[in-house]
Amino acid sequence: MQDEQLPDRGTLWTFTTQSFPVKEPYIGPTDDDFVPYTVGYVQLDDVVTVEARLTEPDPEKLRIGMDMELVVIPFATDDDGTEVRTFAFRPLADTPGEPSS
Amino acid sequence: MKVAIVGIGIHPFGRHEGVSGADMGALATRRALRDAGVEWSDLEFAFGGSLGQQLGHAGSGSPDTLVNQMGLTGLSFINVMNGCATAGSAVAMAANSIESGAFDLGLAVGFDKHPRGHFNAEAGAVGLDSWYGEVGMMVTTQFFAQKINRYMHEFGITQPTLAKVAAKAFRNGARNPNAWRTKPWSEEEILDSRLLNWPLTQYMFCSPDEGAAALIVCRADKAREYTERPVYLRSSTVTTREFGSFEVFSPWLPVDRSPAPTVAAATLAFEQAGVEPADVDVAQLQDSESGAEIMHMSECGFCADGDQEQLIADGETEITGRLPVNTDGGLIANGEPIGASGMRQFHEIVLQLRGDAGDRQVPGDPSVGFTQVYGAPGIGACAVLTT
Repeated sequence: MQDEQLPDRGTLWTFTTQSFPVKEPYIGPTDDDFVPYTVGYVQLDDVVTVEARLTEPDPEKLRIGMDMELVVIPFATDDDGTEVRTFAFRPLADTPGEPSS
Repeated sequence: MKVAIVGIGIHPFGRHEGVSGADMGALATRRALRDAGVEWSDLEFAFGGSLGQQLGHAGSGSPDTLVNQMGLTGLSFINVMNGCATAGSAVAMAANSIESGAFDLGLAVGFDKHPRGHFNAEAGAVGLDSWYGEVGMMVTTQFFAQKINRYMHEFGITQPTLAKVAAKAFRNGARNPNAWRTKPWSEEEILDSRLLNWPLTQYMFCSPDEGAAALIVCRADKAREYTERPVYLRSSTVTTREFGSFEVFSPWLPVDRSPAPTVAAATLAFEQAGVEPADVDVAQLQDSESGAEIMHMSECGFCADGDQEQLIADGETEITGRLPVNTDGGLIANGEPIGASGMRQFHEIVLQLRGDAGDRQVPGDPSVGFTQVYGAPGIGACAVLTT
């Protein structure tokens, strides 16, 4: 076993929205406070494809093949008020990608 | 494979307050016994599928609790839990038990009683760390949506075609007295229903519900002792994912894709049966949502990737088409009580091959049927049946 530094940029392989409230074990706001989000798989060069939250909530603005960049975003708050963050990917500007269908 | 199905029984799918999963399983079993003209005490073995207990769903019960209701005869009873491929796996085990020569007559039964809402998986139960669920990615519907979104991108399937598949399911369900959803919905209504996971809307998805179905199986050479119209199980296969296939609950994937487990399960099922996909007259495919039915058509070998767009536009998967798919409304119209769902597929194929499917009977005396279920985290189970 050895560590390998992964690229922090890649291309969007597929994606979807989470438009309805998710149950536990999700620790983000749920029920009436639920905030819809998007997830996707991002291919990091020819190394690996990873699943992650995406920062762009509008599926119309996401395109398979578009360039993505790693970021860290807050998505939940612990019971003691601590902000919980996760890795995520955001679309890089000026890379429209290919139409998804 | 020299195995026959000589009795079938079903408990209607849907919501049944006050009725336990085992109650439904017992009713389906009694109906199957009556259909075969045998008694519970005649059975040597049973394989019972139910996932509700593993998922912590109250009222579902362990499959072997059926013996409390059916009779403590001492038969061999084995519980089967294999994700959404549970029923297909139970049938495969039952068939293998007969094929091996161990037994002559037995039962494959499945039931479940799930609460409302999407299946709620435990990360630890599928070998993942808890963060995957905590960040909101442990949702099966997200996988279905991401798989069909990629497939649409690669092979030119459009969102209206997803709606066509769901509309067919509801039309067929309206002809099925045991279905849960019996109201036809238009393609426009389906497209306009609430977006759940892009590109899939609410009415394109099946929902967890309740139900049961049962099969009496026996040695093929003894089938005519029980029925004049046996249906023969020519093959029943179960496979798991290979490295690189895109499966539910995958935090990461290698860059190179390999085929889905259904591809291997179907290839093996056709090989063992000595039947070609083109020979199939009626098929029941896992339509957890519209996209799954479309992708499973090609994964099972019924068409090339992308051909579904035109086949569906031409009505070829309708009851009157060249390859009728999900003639009883599939999962979309029946919901998914996991242990029962794949068993329902066998029930429907037997009805169709007997010519007993009533308003939804496939014309032209169908003689070859096919079933397929797909389960998390990457299980395919397929079967070929003939008259």
